[in-house]
Amino acid sequence: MNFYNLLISSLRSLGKNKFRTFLTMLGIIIGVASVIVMQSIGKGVETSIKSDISSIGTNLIMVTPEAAEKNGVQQSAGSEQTLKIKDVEMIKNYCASVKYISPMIMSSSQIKYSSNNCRSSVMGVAAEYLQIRNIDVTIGAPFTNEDIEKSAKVCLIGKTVKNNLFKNDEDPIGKSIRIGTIPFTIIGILKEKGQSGFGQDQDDIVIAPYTSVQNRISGNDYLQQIFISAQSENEVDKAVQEISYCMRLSHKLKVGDVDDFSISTQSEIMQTMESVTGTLTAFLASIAAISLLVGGIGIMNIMFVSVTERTKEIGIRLAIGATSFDVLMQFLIEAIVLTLLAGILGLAFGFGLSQLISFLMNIEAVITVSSVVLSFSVCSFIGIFFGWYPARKAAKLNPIDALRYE
Amino acid sequence: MKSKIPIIKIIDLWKTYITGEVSFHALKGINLEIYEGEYVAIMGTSGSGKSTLMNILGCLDKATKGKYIFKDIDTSTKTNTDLAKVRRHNFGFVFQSYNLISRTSAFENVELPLLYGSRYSKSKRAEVVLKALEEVGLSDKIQSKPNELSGGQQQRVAIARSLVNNPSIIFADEPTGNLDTRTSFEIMSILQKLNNLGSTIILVTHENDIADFTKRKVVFRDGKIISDIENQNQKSAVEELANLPVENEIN
Ligand SMILES: Nc1ncnc2c1ncn2[C@@H]1O[C@H](COP(=O)(O)OP(=O)(O)OP(=O)(O)O)[C@@H](O)[C@H]1O
Ligand SMILES: [Mg+2]
Repeated sequence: MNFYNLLISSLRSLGKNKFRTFLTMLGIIIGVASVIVMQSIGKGVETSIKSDISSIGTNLIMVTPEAAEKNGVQQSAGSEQTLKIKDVEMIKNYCASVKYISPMIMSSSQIKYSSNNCRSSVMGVAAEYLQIRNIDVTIGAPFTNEDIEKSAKVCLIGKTVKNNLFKNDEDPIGKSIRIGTIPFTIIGILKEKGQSGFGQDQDDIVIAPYTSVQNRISGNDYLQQIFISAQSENEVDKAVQEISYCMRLSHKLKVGDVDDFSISTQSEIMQTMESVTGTLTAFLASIAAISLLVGGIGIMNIMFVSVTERTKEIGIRLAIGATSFDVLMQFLIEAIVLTLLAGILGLAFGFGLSQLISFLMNIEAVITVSSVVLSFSVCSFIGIFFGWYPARKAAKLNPIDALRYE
Repeated sequence: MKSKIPIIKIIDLWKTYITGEVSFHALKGINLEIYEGEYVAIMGTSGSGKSTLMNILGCLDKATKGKYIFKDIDTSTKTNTDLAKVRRHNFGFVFQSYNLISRTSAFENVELPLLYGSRYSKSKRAEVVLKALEEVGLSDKIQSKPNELSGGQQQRVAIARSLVNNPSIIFADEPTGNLDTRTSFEIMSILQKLNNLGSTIILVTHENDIADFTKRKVVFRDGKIISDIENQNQKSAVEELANLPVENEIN
């Protein structure tokens, strides 16, 4: 039989058994789609976390207090109260590689405006914080150093806080809200940032001068963190050394004493996160591998059964004058057409589903070539092999044995 | 009447089936010659080896021992692929259980041997297929699938399929086995017509009524030929069909 006739026979045969064809394809479609979806979610979460981390700036350095041994007694984590404003002054005055510096204290407070209220994070920082973190004020203006000196009761609010407290058409600028019991005047609205890769709403925030937060809300002079921006990316390492030196000096640590603070940089955070997302990706990849395996076994089963079921048809074809080669080619073409068609449908389905999930979960779907190639080739291989192998067995039989097959 | 060289010649043919420890001789040293244009009935009780012989003659199965020479081809020396080519150019098969490909129209079933065997163009194929279907009186059922046809009609499709590639021999293994008398006679008149037109036909049957339409009766018992005689008074299937009482007239 020439190739054209073979192709026609194969397509006819697929068309005549739509349900069988559909069932066989289903296994492949699911196998391919699930791998693509799993992989795209994993990759998507990873890239979104990475871009969040990069967005905090490559120059960024953070100083946090550390539970240090004091007189041999381990202090509990989180209770450290070692960072003070004098550390900030020290770094500002003596570290040449530092461009911007801002203390940070954070508290969660009840915010009220007329009858509306919500609970949000209130962040006390210096004016430079906005430069360090690349935060823009879209409406109004940021607070000034003067506001800080005077512990001015002014604040900037994020989009979520605005939406929670104000009606759509109401202009919040100049309005007075209560943080706890203290009235603060809104002087600006922050540019929308959306969700972070960790699922945090970055717009649910109130930013105020750190002096105001210390004096009027938290009532103590401890800092939770110091945010620093190095002069340039190349000077980060040098800045870290200078900061470490200043901090030890400021805390009067002797040679041999352990640091009671820790300094981290963006690249370190990136490394930590990479190991976390790596685990996530590996986890999703193993789920994908399992679904590929299950899908593969499904394809194998249905192919094997449907070809074996057609042994009698093979017998008829042999009796009529088909050679084993003719029969094999027909089944091979059928398997290839079926598998490729299903593979393409699976890809389309996988793409669609990842888009949907990325839309619902608010992450970017990243589809990699490797997942497409892997799932497609594994499913195709299984589909074609198990379409071919039982057909080969049947085609090698005596025609009469194939005809008599029950 | 007989030409000098037989189209089929078998010499001391044995077929032994081995199931587990037990071996069973279905054919025990058969010798037979069949000439072009013959119409042979192979008869005998159930299990006597008729189908076994038929399948070997049709190259659907291989003998355990002995020689089978078709035309000038010694079939025992041929590969499966060669045998497939022998079948496609020389043989047509009609089985008791029709053996049509399901979900496939009468036209496509009949076309199948041409797809494997011939180099006909599509239009030439259609012409030949339609002619074959016309010959068996099924011009009005071209697009019907097997499950939309009666047993007799399915058997006609099978006959059309068996003759479409213009074979030297048509093998029919109990083609009327599943059919009533009237339909059987209809099928037999088609086969008889084909034989009159020159086809060599080998027919397996255990009914004398059916064998009466052939020209030669070969009788089997226990894997051996016990008699091989010419049928002196061959009946005409068309006439017998006309003599059958018509159901409407019974009342
Ligand atoms: N594949 C096989 N394996 C084992 N034994 C077989 C096989 N095929 C046939 N036989 C045996 O060979 C013998 C002849 O079988 P065959 O089918 O030729 O009989 P038959 O004359 O066609 O009978 P029937 O009229 O019932 O069709 C039987 O006894 C049968 O049991
Ligand atoms: Mg039989």
